Amino acid sequence: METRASHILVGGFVLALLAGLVGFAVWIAKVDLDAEYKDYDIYFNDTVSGLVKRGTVFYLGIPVGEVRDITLAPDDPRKVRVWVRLRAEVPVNEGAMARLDFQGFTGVAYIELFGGPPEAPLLTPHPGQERPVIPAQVSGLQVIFASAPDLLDAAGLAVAQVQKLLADENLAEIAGILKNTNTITGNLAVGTKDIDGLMVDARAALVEVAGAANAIQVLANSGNKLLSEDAKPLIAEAIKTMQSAQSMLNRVDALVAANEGAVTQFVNGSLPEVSRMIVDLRKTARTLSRLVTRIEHNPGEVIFGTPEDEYDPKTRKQGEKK
Amino acid sequence: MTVVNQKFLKGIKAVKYLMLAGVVFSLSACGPLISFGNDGPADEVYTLAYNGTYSVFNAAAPRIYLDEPLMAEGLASRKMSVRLPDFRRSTISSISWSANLSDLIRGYMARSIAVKTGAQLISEGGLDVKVGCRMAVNVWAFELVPGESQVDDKVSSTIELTLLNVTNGALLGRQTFVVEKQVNSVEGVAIAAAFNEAIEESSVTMSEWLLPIQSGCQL
Repeated sequence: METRASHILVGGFVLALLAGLVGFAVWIAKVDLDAEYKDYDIYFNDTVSGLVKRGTVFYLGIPVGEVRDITLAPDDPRKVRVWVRLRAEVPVNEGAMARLDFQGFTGVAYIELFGGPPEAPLLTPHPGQERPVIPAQVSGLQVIFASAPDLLDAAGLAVAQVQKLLADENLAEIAGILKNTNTITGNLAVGTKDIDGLMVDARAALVEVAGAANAIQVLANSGNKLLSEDAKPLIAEAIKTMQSAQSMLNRVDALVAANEGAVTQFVNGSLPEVSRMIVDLRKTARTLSRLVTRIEHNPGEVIFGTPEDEYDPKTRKQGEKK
Repeated sequence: MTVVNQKFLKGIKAVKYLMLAGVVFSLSACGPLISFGNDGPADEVYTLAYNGTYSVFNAAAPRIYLDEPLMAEGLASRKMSVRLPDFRRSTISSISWSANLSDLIRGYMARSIAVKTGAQLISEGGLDVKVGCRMAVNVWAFELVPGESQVDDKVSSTIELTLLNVTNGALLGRQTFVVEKQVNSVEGVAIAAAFNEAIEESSVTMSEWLLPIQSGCQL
């Protein structure tokens, strides 16, 4: 005879055990069944090597989500689109920035988010966008990694230059310079006495220069005195004379302006005539001078003429006629 | 009685005046009290005559003042000069110029050159005329030069002209014109003719010299 009660009991126990196992698994997995998420896109302009799916997304160091997918940007193959899923309570607003960071130089890449201003509105998808887009910025390590090749090239070049500078011939030259410096300092030490004499001479020269400066000062004072005292009346007289001359010139100017026509006629017509008259007067003066001289020497000659033998073309001789 | 005496005295005074006048006339009839001697026969007088036309007025023509010639070696007189050998000089007897030689030369040149060049030459009497240039004249020789025989006799003319712009003092030109002409006979008329030929030939060459440079005298 079989007992039916034991089968029911065993079956119930097994079901209860399975339910306990499921509850335990959920508890162990910390599955937050009530949690809500928001998806965002981040576009990086450079490589995202090190970043993997299900990578952690931090917000100011707090893990708030994970990387859902990593693909190329659909409209620009130079960019990388990273799809992240964040918890809904994370305040991703306008002005928030995303940055690709690394855990050490060889660590795993992760995304770090920085919030925008508190008063800024929450980030929403723009028309044509599948999800809201968080702007990306370049991290310091990325800059270092990007410029590392150039830095290495520059360092190599610098090392090459230092090697050239420290070549054997340059080292020999530097040794010579040091040797010469040693010689100069030695001579300087020996010639201290000469330098002392030079200093004495320089001091005497400075004394003479000081005396000359004093003399110049005295001369300048005399000049100042001359200008301030003696020259004052002279300058005043000169100013007065200049004023008088200015007044006279003004009167002459007014006179000329008032008689412009007459002056023009005089300059153009009468002045050349005056020149001719002077020539004639000069000639007349010479003639009168000769006449007076002749009268002084022989008055009769002036009246009766100079006795001379005139030439007769017919006889071809000089006759007796006076 | 008193009236008769007064008439008598007046008659005596009149007779005295008449006698004095008669003595004066008698003395004057005896000849000049002072004599300057005898000048002999009168000279033949000749001139430098320009036989061409007179210049016409042209307001646009260059105006040149012809200065009074400066005469060298006593040429400024009415006597005709003679250059004799051994640096001797004399004058020709019995013939003379009608005026001072400098006036004759100046007048001849003023007329002749004005006609030949078209320029307005202002000479004596041209006072107050605005001119562009002054032409100075130096007469170095204008004389008879007797030769060994009559056929060698000649007249020599050497005249230097200087053209000066009076507005800016620029010297536009200077030239000496030398002409010698043979004297055909010993008569005064032949000598005067030779002088006239010399001055005419000189004025021709003077005009040729002046023509290209007279534009510098344009006002």
